[in-house]
Amino acid sequence: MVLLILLVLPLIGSLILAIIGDRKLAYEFNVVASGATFIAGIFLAIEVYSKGSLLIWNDYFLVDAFNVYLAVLTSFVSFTTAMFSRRYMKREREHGRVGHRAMRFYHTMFQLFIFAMLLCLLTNNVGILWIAMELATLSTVLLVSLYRTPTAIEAAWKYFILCGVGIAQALFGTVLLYFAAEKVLGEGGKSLLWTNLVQNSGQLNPTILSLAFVFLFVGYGTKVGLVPMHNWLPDAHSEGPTPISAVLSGLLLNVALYALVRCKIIVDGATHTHHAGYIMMIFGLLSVLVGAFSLLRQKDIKRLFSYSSIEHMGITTFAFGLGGSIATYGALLHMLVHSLTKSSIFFTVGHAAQMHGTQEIVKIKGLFRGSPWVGWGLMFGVLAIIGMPPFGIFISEFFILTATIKSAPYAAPFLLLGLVVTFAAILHKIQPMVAGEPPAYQKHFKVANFPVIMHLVLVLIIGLFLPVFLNNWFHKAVEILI
Amino acid sequence: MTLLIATIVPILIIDLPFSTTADVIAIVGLLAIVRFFTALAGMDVGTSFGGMGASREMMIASLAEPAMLITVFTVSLSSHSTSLSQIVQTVANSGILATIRPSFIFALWAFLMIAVAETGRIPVDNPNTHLELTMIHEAMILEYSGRHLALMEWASMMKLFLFISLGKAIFLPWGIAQSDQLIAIPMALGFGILKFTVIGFVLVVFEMMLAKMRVFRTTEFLGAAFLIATLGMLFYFILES
Amino acid sequence: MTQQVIEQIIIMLAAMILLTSFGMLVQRKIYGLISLFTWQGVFLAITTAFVGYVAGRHELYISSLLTLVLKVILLPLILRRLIVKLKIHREIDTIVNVSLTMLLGVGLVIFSYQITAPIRELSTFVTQSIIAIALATVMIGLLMMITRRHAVTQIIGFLAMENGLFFAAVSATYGMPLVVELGVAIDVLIAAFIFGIFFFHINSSFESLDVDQMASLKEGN
Repeated sequence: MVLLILLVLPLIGSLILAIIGDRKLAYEFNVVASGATFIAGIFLAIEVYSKGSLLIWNDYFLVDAFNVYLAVLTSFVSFTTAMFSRRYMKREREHGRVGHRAMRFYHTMFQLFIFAMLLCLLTNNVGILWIAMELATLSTVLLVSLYRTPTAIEAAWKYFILCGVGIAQALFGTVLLYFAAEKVLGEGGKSLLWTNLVQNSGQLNPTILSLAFVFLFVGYGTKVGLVPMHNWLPDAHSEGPTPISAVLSGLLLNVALYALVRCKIIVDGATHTHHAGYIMMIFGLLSVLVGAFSLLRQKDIKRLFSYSSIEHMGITTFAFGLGGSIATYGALLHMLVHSLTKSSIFFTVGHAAQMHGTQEIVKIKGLFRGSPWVGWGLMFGVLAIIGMPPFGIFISEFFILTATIKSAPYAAPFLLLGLVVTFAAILHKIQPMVAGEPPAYQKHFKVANFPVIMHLVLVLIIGLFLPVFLNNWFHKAVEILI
Repeated sequence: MTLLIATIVPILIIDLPFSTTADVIAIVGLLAIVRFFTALAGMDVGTSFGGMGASREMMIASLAEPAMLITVFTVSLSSHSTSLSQIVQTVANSGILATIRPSFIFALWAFLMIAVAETGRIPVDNPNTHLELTMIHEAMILEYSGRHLALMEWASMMKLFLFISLGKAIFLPWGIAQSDQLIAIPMALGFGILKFTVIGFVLVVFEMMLAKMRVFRTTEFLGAAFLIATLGMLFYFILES
Repeated sequence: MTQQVIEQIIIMLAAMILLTSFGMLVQRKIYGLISLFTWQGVFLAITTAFVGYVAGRHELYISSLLTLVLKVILLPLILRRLIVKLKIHREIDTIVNVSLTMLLGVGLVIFSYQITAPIRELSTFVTQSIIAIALATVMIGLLMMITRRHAVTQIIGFLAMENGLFFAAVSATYGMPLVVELGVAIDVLIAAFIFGIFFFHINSSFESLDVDQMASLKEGN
């Protein structure tokens, strides 16, 4: 029942916003709709926490510890992004960067995107997982090109083509999965249910599943932004409006990784080898290194943080590939804190870019003095993302590093190299932005402080002392994943 | 030279005197020798048109030969032999419905395209043209007259006849005489004449409908023939074994 | 008609589907591309119907009808309307030359034959030999997207890939569950609408649909 409300709310919100999307109260309605979704998510989480995993509506939906925490995270971050989007998009609309129809479209697609992500997280059917993933991509493609500049259109085109190709490979992988499952479970919808597949994974043919995993990895890995399929990510995340960059970086990457990990569990059960894990480790590590070294050459602030997203997703993929309870716990925690931190960084960066009228790093200066909220928000966000204690990312990276040194010590130097280079690169680029005298062209206006503060405080709390229920939650999720 | 080929291609009977010695690859080779001499004859004359015709003919040959060979390989795959009589026997014995196979149909398609190119019919080459710059085969025999011209024309007509019979034998062999019974030969003759009539009619209709292609488009045409022949061969391995 | 004849027809149709892929790979005129794509959809729909008859799975008839409506009628219609509105009538160039592209295509066919070997060993279905063709169609669609410069051609390559994937589902598993097939079809339709809108944006922004112009977002920018 709660699940139905959770899924239907964004749909209804999207339909209503399609009509009123550009009126004065549309922004507030967006916030309210996302807030309601978040509250429904919390109710669902409480149910799962007390009763354990749930299979709902003829086994079509599965809610266990792994995905309910991601669902709560998704609805929370979309709620805060809606708050940020209210101030940010109002300003963009006033400036004329976004037209009347575009604003309606933006609001409609925002809610539709939330619906698609929640569907992807909560479904038990691997086929519907794919469909929801594709729907999530399609709903954001035209949002990336919202500003209609040549570079935005190019970024959206690349996003569309590369992710479309990737997701087609994932469909082939799903077909192969169904092929293997049909032999054991018979035809029909129940052969695509994740719970059935995991239960019977010992009987599925290992060769077919390894082949399927390769295609699934290429497909969903493209959406996660793993190197070498990452080309679309910096463009798409930097050219769209900032709220979209925040949800794409913070949420969609997580959901894609979730899909990949679900498939990995099935494949591991069937092949009884670590091949899937090794593939994830290698490409995760590669993403960390490529992301870290690409940071040095960036001149655009949003591209800088997109590469940081690639790098963090690489770390998470590596950790999931490594396996074992410590690494998996670290990976789950990392998904949570990265999402919160990255979105808050994008919030501050968005406002900074709006204040200076440009996204270039060299042109943004003096944020501490000019606009202290934005400046200090950015500074703390950056300190969090590069892994400074006492923020949460330090904890998750520490867990992952510990597990690496224990199980795969040869990979540890590369991981450390990536982390150190990131630390230096980002700090080096941010420092001139926040310090110094504010330039003359810096404008000031009301910024959305609340989302930024909330996210950073949460990350700080998680870093300092992990609440007990979160700890238990993660333990339960780890049990599912091992 | 073309006479030699005529002794190999089974027009009426399968068990020909030379059938054990010659197979389809030999036919392709013999046709190549024919073309070689024609080209030399063209260059022998000394005018520029002869050389032009010879070079164009060679260009077409260089593209058509590989396609022809692959077509030949494809048809020989299903009968497990390159001997022409063996191929004909296999196809004739397997009934009409068994020929709805990709390798067979694609080989037939490619063979038709190559036949058009090799025998110099529209759309590759117009045998009735009087415009020298559009000629390919005619340019080589432009300067000949009298009985030499008659011999050349006869040779090219025989080439067309032999190509059609080759195609008939490989792809439409039903009705050919396979046993030693005397009654089989007139029956085969009757079927043969029927098939020739039909093919001749189809040829005329096609020549009427199409226009001659530009010389540089013939490379694409033959490239397509090569592709179709290769696909036919691949389909044999992928779909039928 | 007997079982064996139908199986032969199915194999023949699969060969025609691959041939249309190759045709799209080397075709230079836009209207020709759309016709080839339509033919591919027709062959696909007929094959699905025949496979449904042979295997006794009646939901494949619905899938076949769905394919017919979507890929033979709706999508080509949308594409043609777009071309008329955007006034694209010229020929399109390819990046890599034609013969090399064809050879790469043949190479991909052989490659997909090798990859699908384990599936062939395990499949007990009538259509076990066709899965290689299906994967080859997907790969050739991918090749088409890479080697072409025009936005419409890239989209047709993407749709050809979807065709190949549908074909793979039909041949390996006698079709995915209807819910999934429906969802995939809806996704394809939405993608069609989105790229239609895209073409207008690209055209108004860049004054042409040559994808090479959209190459300014590179590293170090």
